[in-house]
Amino acid sequence: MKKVAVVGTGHTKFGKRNDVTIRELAFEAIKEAFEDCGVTPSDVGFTVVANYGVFSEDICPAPYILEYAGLNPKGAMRVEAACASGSAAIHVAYWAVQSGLTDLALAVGVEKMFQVDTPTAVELLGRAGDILWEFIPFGTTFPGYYAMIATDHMNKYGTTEEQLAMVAVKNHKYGAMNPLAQLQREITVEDALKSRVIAWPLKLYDCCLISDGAAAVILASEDKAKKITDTPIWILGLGSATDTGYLARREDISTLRSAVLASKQAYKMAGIEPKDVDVAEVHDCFTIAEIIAYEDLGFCNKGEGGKLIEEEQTYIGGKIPVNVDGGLKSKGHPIGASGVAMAAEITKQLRGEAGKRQVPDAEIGLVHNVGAAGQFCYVTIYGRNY
Amino acid sequence: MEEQCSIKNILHVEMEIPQNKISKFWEGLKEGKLLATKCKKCARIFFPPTADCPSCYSSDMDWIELNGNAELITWTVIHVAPKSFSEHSPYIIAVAKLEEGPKVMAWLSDVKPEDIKPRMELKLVAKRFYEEKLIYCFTPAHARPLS
Repeated sequence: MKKVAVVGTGHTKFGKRNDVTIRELAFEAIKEAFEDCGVTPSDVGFTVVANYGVFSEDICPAPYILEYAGLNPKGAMRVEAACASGSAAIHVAYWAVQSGLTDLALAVGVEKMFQVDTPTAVELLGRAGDILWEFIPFGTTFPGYYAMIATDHMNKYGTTEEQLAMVAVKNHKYGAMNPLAQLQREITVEDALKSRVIAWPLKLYDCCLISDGAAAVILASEDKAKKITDTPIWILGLGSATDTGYLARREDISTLRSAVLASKQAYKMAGIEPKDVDVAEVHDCFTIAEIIAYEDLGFCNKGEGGKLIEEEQTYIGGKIPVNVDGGLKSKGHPIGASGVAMAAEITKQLRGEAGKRQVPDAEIGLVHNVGAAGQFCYVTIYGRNY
Repeated sequence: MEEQCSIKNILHVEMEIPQNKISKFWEGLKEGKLLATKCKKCARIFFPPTADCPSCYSSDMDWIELNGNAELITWTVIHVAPKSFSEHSPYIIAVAKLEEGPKVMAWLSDVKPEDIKPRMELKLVAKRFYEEKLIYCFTPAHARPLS
């Protein structure tokens, strides 16, 4: 099998960016990715743009981003897999390189969510649920979906609101150390428990942020990668799976089956087990989502995710450090950018460039990126060595 | 702070969503009936109803009436609502399993959040919300309606 490596990354600061258009924001991340590896737009054979897109001006953003960043006339497409759009872009870019169609591909994720007010953002995100049978009749929201998942997990396994709060405390701790994070401040369990209810049992600090941001990753074939960089980060395994759009139709609401299946595929392709992962970026759109990710990815047994965070096993120094960049919770969650940003962070970790947040000697990293409430899941495993 | 330089742009979208293939469901609701589809080939029951069966790819469906008996699986109380629901919050959304098999998501009415218990018995009933919207909702099977 032909090898594919990440050779360059770009990652804007996440937060409120009312000073730029979506094209200008994407340009910032693309420029940084080119500078990171010394390639030029004309070297890129194929570009994949990840964008959910309903919050911002360009309804069809890819052509305008391509033109703005000097990427014409090479081929491109825009992909959408709700909150997993970024990983979808990386998977497509991987296929483009792995197939031999090009030796250099660019995946860029971008989202601008602050152009609309918060109730409108909640509306536009909620419409990613089952529009006919959930959103239109009952006003479902994403905090609401994950709240129902949380209630089920609490009833089945005794997971507590304190354990959910502990996930937020950890992710804020690392977000406070990350200059790219939207919220760079630590919080306590009490702060989280006292925060206002969004969708019971989830409170403000259980929920990720509305964010603007962009990230870009450049993938290269083995020959090209070795010419470009001394520190290629290899893609060792990929997996993707889906689940029902109508949440109630699932057999077990306390797990994301798509994550279980996607991770099994990725582990098998990489020839590794969960215990071999040194650092992970998981989709903590809500604190319960991180706890369930620990279980779905095999970092602990089903039902023991709450205990894993309580024992601080997902901090640096623990059994498996998770979201040591602050996660979606504290770093921010600009929908289309998130999956690409997770790949950028894992690349930094495996290159040993994560500074204060470095997981010592990290050799294998995992990205788990969920679309909607598990309708999509992409798992990607990266390694310093192939 | 630097003054914001921007262009204002408004997009207003209105759409009609076809329901022809399951019009019987909407007619049933008007009479207070909950109608599901049942695949004649594999006997799988769909509620909310679908016109086509994804298990055997048959479009030959029977319409059956549900008795509404259900058991609660999970729930939430929405406090921060989408813009179009802002005047209705807080509201309870629940998932429950119907006696006939399908699991359904709907509002849970006539109960205080603190009185909700997992596995409690519910009834799914046709209901008209805030005048214009006819849909179904759960109510506790045994509780007296709250005043």
